[in-house]
Amino acid sequence: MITEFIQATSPLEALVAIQKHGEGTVFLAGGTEIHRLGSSVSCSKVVSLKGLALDAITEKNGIVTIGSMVTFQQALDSALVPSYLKESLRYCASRTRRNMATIGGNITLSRDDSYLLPTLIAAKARLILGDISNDGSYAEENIPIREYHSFREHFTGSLILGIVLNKPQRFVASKRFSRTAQSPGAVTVSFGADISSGAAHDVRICAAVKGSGLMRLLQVEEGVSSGQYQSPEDAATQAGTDIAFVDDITGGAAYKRYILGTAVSELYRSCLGAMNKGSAV
Amino acid sequence: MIVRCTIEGRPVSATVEPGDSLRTMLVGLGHFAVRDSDDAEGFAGSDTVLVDDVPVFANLMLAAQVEGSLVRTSDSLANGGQLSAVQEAMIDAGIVQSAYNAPAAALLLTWLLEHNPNPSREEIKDVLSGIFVRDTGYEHYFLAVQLARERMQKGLYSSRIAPEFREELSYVGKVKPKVDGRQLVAGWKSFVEDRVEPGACALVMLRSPYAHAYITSIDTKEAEASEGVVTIITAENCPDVFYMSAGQGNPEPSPYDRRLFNRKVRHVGDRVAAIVAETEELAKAARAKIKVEYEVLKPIFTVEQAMAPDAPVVQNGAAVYLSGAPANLDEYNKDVDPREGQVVYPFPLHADIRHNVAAAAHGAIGDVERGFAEADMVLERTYQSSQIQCTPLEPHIVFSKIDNDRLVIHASTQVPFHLRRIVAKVCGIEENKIHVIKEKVGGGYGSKQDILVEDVAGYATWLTRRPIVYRNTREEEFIANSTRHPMRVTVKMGASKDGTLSAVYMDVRANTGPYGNHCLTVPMNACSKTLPLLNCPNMKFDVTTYYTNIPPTGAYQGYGAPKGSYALMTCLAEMADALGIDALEMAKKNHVERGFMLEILKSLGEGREGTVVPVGSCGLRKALDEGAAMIGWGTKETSEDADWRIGKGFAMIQQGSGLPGLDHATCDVVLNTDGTFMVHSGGSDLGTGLDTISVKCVSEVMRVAMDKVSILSGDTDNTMFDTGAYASSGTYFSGNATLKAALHLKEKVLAEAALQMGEDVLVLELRSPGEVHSTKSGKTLSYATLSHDALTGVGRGQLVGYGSFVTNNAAIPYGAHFAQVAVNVKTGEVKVQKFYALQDAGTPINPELALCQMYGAAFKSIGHSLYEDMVLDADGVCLASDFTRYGVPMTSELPDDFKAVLIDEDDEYGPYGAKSISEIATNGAAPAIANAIHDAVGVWIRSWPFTPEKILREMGKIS
Repeated sequence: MITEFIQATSPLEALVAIQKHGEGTVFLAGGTEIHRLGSSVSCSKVVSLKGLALDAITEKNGIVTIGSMVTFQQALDSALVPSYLKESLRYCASRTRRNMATIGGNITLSRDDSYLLPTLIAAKARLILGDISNDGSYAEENIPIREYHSFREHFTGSLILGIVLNKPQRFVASKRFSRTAQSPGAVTVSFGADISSGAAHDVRICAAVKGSGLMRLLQVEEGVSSGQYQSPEDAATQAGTDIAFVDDITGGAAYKRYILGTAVSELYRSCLGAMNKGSAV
Repeated sequence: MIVRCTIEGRPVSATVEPGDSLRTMLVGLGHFAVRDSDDAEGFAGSDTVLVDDVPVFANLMLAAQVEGSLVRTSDSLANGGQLSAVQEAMIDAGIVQSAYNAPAAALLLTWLLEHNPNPSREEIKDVLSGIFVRDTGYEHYFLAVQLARERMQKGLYSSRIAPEFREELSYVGKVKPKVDGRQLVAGWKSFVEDRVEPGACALVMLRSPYAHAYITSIDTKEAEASEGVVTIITAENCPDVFYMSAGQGNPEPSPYDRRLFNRKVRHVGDRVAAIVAETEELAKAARAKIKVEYEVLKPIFTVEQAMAPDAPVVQNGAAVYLSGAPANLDEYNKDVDPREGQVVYPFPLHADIRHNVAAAAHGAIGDVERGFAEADMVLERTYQSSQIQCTPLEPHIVFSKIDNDRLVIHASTQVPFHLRRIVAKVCGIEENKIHVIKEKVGGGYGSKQDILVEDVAGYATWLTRRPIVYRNTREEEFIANSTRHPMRVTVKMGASKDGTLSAVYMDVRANTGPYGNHCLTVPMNACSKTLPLLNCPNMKFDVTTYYTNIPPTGAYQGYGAPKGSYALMTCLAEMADALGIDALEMAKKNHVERGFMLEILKSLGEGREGTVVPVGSCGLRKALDEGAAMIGWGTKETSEDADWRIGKGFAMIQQGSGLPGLDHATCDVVLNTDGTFMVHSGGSDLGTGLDTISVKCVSEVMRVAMDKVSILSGDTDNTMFDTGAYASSGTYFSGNATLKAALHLKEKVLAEAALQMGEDVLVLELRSPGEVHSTKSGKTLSYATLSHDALTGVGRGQLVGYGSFVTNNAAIPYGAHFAQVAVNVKTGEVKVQKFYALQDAGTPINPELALCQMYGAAFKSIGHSLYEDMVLDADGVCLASDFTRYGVPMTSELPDDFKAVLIDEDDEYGPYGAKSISEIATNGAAPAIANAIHDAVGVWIRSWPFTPEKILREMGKIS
């Protein structure tokens, strides 16, 4: 139950409020999770980010920066946001929810059916984080999103200010499998690769698997990057071999294992197709 | 804290708690049409408002977040009684039916048109993606947008809303505004929650965490001593009355196998205690202090587990028969554990509770064994259906109070008179002590045929004399409500090489869960609403229903028919495939036609012998032919993407129009002193337009405009008995009662006019705009004058027409549904590309409402077929107890091409030739889609929902 609403006027003020009020205090972005029935967030105090002017989308020198308070729908409506990210934004199939849910909020939640994280990781996005340094001063840093994902516990007190995307020099595409468009996703998987050299390298494949978590398919990334897996079928065979799939309402473990492999295969095939066309997506 | 914002253009300062939602604040400020269907799940959209001109869910937003913002609710749309163009268009399009979130939808469509005056279908779908529409589907929302645009641009409509029927009639068969449409779309007070009085106590329920357990002790002392607690009711202090929550005919063909609270819990979510306190928060706080100890028993969840030789027994109490007790009853009841309670049978239902059999039925015509022996091919297949939820947008809710020392119940119910009877029984009082007022029903679909909240709230009010409100949470809607009985249906079918059926056998094994709600009649409908489609001379069925520990089952739109239809029609298609015959040709070879004597009905009565009748009006062949032409039957479609394979399927369907020989409806129509009319109908309009049907019948007979006729319905003090709105009875029974009452009044008006005018009654006629006309003298007498003079000191009194309708005649609706699907051979995904629902509803009295109900029911059954499933874990806990996880279809799941077509048939017995419309539309999707999937990828899916996982498994892609 929320007993205190704190309106921050700057990132520093928001961070200070989190530190000051301690456990049970969280940042309030769009609110679609905090107030939601069955929310994964338990809190007694919220620090509203509404007044922090984090809702801009800008482009400079081919770099797109999306403020963390930009809603899914604002991002969809922006001409600056690359199409591969829009594909993932549409996985949130309720327009009304898209009007409320924010990019930063979705990243922070890191759910096992995350709409955006697989794609942002595959796209090699970077995050701009606000923090309070050891000396108490305000600091910002720009880190790879994979670092944020891999070392999540290091960033629990950080405030996501924005997401940084390079102009599409990479192939990035994703697939999501759910019973209905608004049901929890059984598997959401994204495939990203640098195809500028005519071969797929610097590959990032990330999957959100319901019940198992959000993870990179490192073995497949390596196999594709190194040329070991030259065919999509090779990638499909290896995809998920190290994942402990579980049965749940989204599907059985065997189904998830199969569909992950199929999706990786299809995305790899699309990547090869893009290479043949000489275009990134 | 104080929130300052602008609401509907006016500055507001509201005092709120930091954790209050925006909806809480708005409702507190009087914007009660910002409703709640999902307990802040952010799904159904009944709580949609605009904040700074952006649609949001008010339940997902803190009030504090709108500081300085512009807030707009649906209350901004109408100007007093003047509705907006969008609101009017929604009524005219027929989409304002149960309407719980109609105001929110009106706000969204208004916002859309303000930002995009010419939206595409995809853009409309996108905006409506946050609105769950269960009753009418979404199809006429597209029409409503078009109508609103036309009204705003030209002041009138140029688009056709719906086909019209019966040229000779003025109101019946014509597109006319639904009589309660304005009230519902504007969000004026309509529903039970709008009737709750300040100071009402709240009731919350303590529910079982176990699927099967004895309550060994329950300690309520600390809870009872808590602040604000009024009473706590448990198995220890509730009436020792066994009853059945199914609102069916009396005596019910269901066992009385529960008390308000039992000493044994039989499903996760079963009632343990009711806590009544002065506020909901205090009631919940007290609930947390109740200490319960359980002796946990092994649960069973499936028919197969229930049938096992050593299966745990779910209902193991004393069997009691009010009539027809078996000779060995004493032996049967020896050593009964008193904690098990009783299972009281009003009459024998072939039960054997010691083996978990709640009810059974058997019947046959001809000689099926001979039929199988004579067949060239015999096929036997088993089909499984899952447990699914009605998901009305308005959850079950009741407000009960005492007035004039009587119990007054404001109910969202399909059966006010059954409700009164059952609550009277529970309370141990007589019916004259209870007044049930049926409010507008925000979605029922069968679940509000059952008395699920009124029994306990009514008793608590009678006990305490306090006003009490009790509303199910959405989770309680899933775990403690009526759901569709899961069934395992085995069909054995014999046919000659040319496709002529020689024998059909159906073995229905139904899972009734913890209580025997509709346990005979729902499974019976799997046979009684399917086998009579076939002209096969040899047919047999066995129906057995088992108790288990799944969440409760009960009535659900379509009753057992969707499951029987899935099994029988899919098996028919499988037989055609096996014989190498076109499935449509085989269907045409075996379906009934007008005049065919339905001998099978003799053994398909609901607890007693049924009546054999001939097939009457029947649009089945027309539906098959038109549907086949529309979908291009026989033409194989191909996709540009080799991974997607396209297939087509269809199903023949039928239902009933009420229960001839069982249902009863009464009505009176009063001529008011100014020549207008007041209808008092016992019927229960669920939002489907029954009140509009009644008004149209009176308008048609009395030749007056519909606004001269008002109606009060479903009020046990002020209307006469009606069995209620279930089994598709509304139009046929309640409508016919109104028609009879109107005709009776017409007779009286003519007789009175003859006296007042000094004319022979035979030369008098009624004519517009509401007068008696003499064809002989040309004189006229207005209804106003006639009524006035009849009510002077020397008159002969108020003119009242009375209508009571019972019948043995059946008015069976028929139809055919066709589907075209695309199936991805790699992922198992299914897309419904085309869905055509063609139905013979006799004369559709409200054609636009009829079409919307067809869309709604068909889309709902598409959801059942492909997505919806109440998944339980190994302990019986429902893992899908919210909309998102359960998987109801939304705009994203709409067929690309969705059409509802009314087949014109005039019925002999229905009012103005009308038959039922809605329930039948739930019967076609499962078999049509299953057959289409087979046509696409060559596998038969014999259990719903047809998930990608099941398809992949059948295709051998996963094990």
